[in-house]
Order: sequence, then structure tokens, then C-alpha cells
Amino acid sequence: MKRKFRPLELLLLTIALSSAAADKALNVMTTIPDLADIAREIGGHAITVESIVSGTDDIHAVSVRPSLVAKLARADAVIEIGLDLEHSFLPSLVEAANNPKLKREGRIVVSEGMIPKDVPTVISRAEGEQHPEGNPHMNVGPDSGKRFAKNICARLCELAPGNESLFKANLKTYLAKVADKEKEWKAKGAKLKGVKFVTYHPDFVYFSDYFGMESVGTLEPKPGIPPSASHTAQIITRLKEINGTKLILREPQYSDALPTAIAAQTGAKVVKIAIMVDGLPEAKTWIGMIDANLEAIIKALE
Amino acid sequence: MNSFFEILSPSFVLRNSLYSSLLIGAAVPPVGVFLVLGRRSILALTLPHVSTLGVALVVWLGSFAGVQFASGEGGGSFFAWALLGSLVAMAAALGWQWLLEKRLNSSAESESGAIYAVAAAATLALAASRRVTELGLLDRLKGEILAVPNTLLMLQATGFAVAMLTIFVFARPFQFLMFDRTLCYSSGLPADLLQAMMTALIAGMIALGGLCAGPLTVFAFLILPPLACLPFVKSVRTLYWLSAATGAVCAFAGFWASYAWEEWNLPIPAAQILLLGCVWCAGRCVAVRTRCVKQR
Repeated sequence: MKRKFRPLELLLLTIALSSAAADKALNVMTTIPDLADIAREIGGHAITVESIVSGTDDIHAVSVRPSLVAKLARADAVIEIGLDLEHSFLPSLVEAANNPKLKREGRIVVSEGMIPKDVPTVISRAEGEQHPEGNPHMNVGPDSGKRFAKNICARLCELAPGNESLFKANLKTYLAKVADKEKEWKAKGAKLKGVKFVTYHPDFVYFSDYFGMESVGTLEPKPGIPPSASHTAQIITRLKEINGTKLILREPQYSDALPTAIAAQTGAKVVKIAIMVDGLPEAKTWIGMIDANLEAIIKALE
Repeated sequence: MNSFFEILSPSFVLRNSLYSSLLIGAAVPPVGVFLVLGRRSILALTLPHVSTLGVALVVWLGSFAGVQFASGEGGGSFFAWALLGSLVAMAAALGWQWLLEKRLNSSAESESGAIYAVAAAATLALAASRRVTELGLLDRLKGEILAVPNTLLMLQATGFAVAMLTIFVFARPFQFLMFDRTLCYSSGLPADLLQAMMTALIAGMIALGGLCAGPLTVFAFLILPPLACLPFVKSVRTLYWLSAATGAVCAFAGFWASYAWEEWNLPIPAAQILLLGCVWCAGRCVAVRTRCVKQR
């Protein structure tokens, strides 16, 4: 006997089939949009990705919301930078989500195997908000993307062995794209060598070291400690002593009032930079972020 | 002592911050006298928070319209809009409170407290919104006394001069209003107009002070100097000037402490408020002792 499907049955069947298809895709959460972008490049259609913080958030002060707990409870994996970058929100979120996957194989730390800069020799609360394993803002470094991509690919292959060939093919394409870009960045960034700059927080080290820029200091006297009168006066004096171009690189999560006031006294130029993807309108991808920062600084130098 | 003479130098790199601190220290406490003597201190807590809500609302609404507020020397648009938002929010809150007091005969204190709770929560919610974190809204709400541009300093100086002049001219009618509203009516004074003037004065000072130093600092300078000076004065006029002098001295000393004690990384507002707190404690101790002696 031939059975006819009624519209309601067809609708239910469609929903069931589509949810089954979605179930196959790995549900991945990342801490920052940079990792979401790289994971998307590697995972392609085999994963769904969402970032916990946005590009303009202060990564050191993310407020934990119930909606994030629900998302992490459903996730198959969470990708983080590590080195204590996400210490203000990730441990409590993972604990609250009570998702056993995220406590074992689903926890992907992309900084594994990389050498961090600024590892403190003395660990003390008096030194501000220290990261004992080193400066964790690796995502702004133009040479970090390749390593992040490789680490993400390796762990995604373990989590979804059925899609291994897809992940590896995507990784190959992405690495080639980054290698091409690196050549371009090195050529363009030659102008940045020796350029003196100030940032609010020590979050631009991996970018500045790559291009040979020289940090004059940070507006924060110590990481996480708001600018004080004496320290601000010292920064102004140091900037005044510099002949030639000097830049105040402003991260989007901090107010522009202090950089603008200092610039007015010292003749420095204020440049808005992204320290995460979406931190600037042009920084839509990780590669786009490096491009945007490089362009912004070169434009200021011209 | 080097740092003391350094900050007095006209070429001192943070001179705008110092001048702004001194202006707040000298001009805000006399306005606080109205609140302390009129027993409306909770309004001093509520209004700065309503003012910051106004600033947050302006930035938040501006983000929907795609407005990027520029601050500093390059453009005063942020300060103009922030001042407007702050004044409108305070006018709305005061209007609402006045309506509730008149129509429901409720207590001003409880309504002020309720407005404070709602304003503080709304500000937190707006500050956490992803649309505005980009603009460093949290820094702005905390107050950025280290980054006072010339435009804002001039605006502050003009506003505070007008306020001081108003207090000087209308000192006596304001006293009638504070202590006995009926006496004000019977003396033929326009009580409602005077009340509106006093409220505008308080709101204006809070808006201007809050933009530079943040709500906590303004609240402290409104309440602590008049309270500390109260036991030592015999007339309201003396209380105005003594609280202004105390505020200015604490503002200067707090700034100096913050600048000189480098290793402490003391924020300027915290240093100033702690000093005011010491003066207040001393003043209250003297008041308690005087009362004990009189009772004996």
C-alpha cells in the first residue's frame, strides 16, 4: 500500500533530518574571535563555531553570563589561547557548564608548543595582574596563526577522525594563504623597524617584536593597574624626549581620552589598533586583523 | 619635596588634571552644604549615578546611530553630548521624584534610594553591552581626571564660577529654603523658583564634576567637607567657605600624594577621598567630644 505523507509529518521529518545533520557537525566554542576564525578555516562545514568574547571586549574582565554556560554545556570542544589569558572567565564557565568533554579531550589550548615572551622572573601580586607563564596575547603576532592552525587541526582530527582528510586539506590551504601573507607583511612592515610606541596594556608585544618596533612603555604602570599620575607624567616625559615619530597605540576596549590628552602634549600620533578580530571594522578575520593593524600604523607613519 | 614644587610649576605635565581637581575640590563642597543641611544627602549619591546613566545612554544611543564620539583636543562633541545626556537624565529623575513626592506623599529619601538602585543597574547593563565597550565607556564612567582636555577645563571653570557667584548672591534665600520653606513663602520669596535654581545648581555641578572625576569623587566632595566642617562653624556662610577651603586643600594634597608616592600607584580620586575621610573622622571626633563636654 502506498502511504502518503501529510504536511505535518513532512515538516517533522525535515526537522529531524536537519537536526541529525547538525549533530554531525562538531559544536565548537572559542574564547576569542581570532580562534573562531582560524577554527572555521580548518573545520569548514564539519564544525560550527562561536566565540565567547567579542573583538572589543576586555579579555581580562569578561562578565560571565548564563547564556554562555548553556552554550558551553552543549559544546563538543572549547578552544582557548591558554597562558592564563582567559583566567577571568573560562574556568568558572567550564565549571558551571559541567560538561565532561570540556574537562578532557574537548579542551584545546592553541599556545601549546609555542614559546611565550615576557615570562616573569618574580611572581608577586605587587607586580599587577601577572601571567606566570608569559605574555598570553599571542594572537596579535603575525607568526602565531600558522601554529594556532596546526594545533587546532591536530585536535579536531582527534575529536572527529571521520573528517581528518577535510581538516588536513583545509589546513594546507590556510597555511599557504598565511605564508603568502607573511611575505607581504614582511615587505610592508620593514618601515616599522625602530618605531617607538606606547600601548595601554602590554598586549602588542608579539606584533611589535615581529616588526622590530620599540616599546617606550605602557599607560598602565603595571599590568591591570589603572594609569597613575606619576606614571602618566613619566610616560609624557619619555615621549617628549623622543625625536621623530612616536605612536600611542590605542586598544579598542580602553577610552581614547588619556591617549588623546598625552598626544596633545607630546606630539605623538594616536593609532587605534585591534588586539582581537573585530576590534576594528576592517579586522573581520585573523589575517584581516594583522593587515588592518599594519595598515593603520603605516598610515600614521606617513 | 621636589615633587611638591614640580606640580606647582606652570609647565607641569598634568596641570589640567591638577586644576580640574582643585576646581572640583573648591566648588563642589559649597553645593553639598545644601544637601547636608537640608538632610537630603542621599540625593548626593543618587544624582551622580543618574548623571553617569545619562552619559552611558548618550553613548549607547549614539552607537545605534553610528556616531563615534571624539574626545580630547580634537573634538568636544563627546563632552557636549555627555553633558546634555547627564543633565537630561538628572532632570528626568528629579521630575519623577518630585511627582512621586507630590502625588503619593512618599518620602524623598526612599524615592531617591529607588532611583539610585535603578540608575546604577541600568548603567551597569549599558556598560556591559557589546555595542559600547569599544568606546572605553567604563573608563569614562569611572572618571578620567588624568585626561582633562582644555575644552572641558574651560567649561568646568566657567560653570563653577557661575555656581559660586549664584551661591554668593542667593546665600540668604537659599538658607530660608533649606531650613524652613514656610518662612520662605511668608517672606515673599519665590520658593519654587529658588528650589528650581538650587536643584539646577546641584545638577550642573554634578554633571561637570562627574565628567572629569566620576560619580564617587563628586559624591565624596559633596558630602564629606560640609560634614567635617560643621562642628567648627557658627553660620552657614562660614560653612560654605570653610568646606570649599577644606575640599580644595584635600584635592591638592590627594593629588600630590598620588603623584609623589609612585610605588603605591594611588589613583587620584582614591587619595583625595581618603584624605577627606580623615578630615571627616577628625571633625566628627571633635563634634562628639564637644557634645560630651556640654552634657557634663
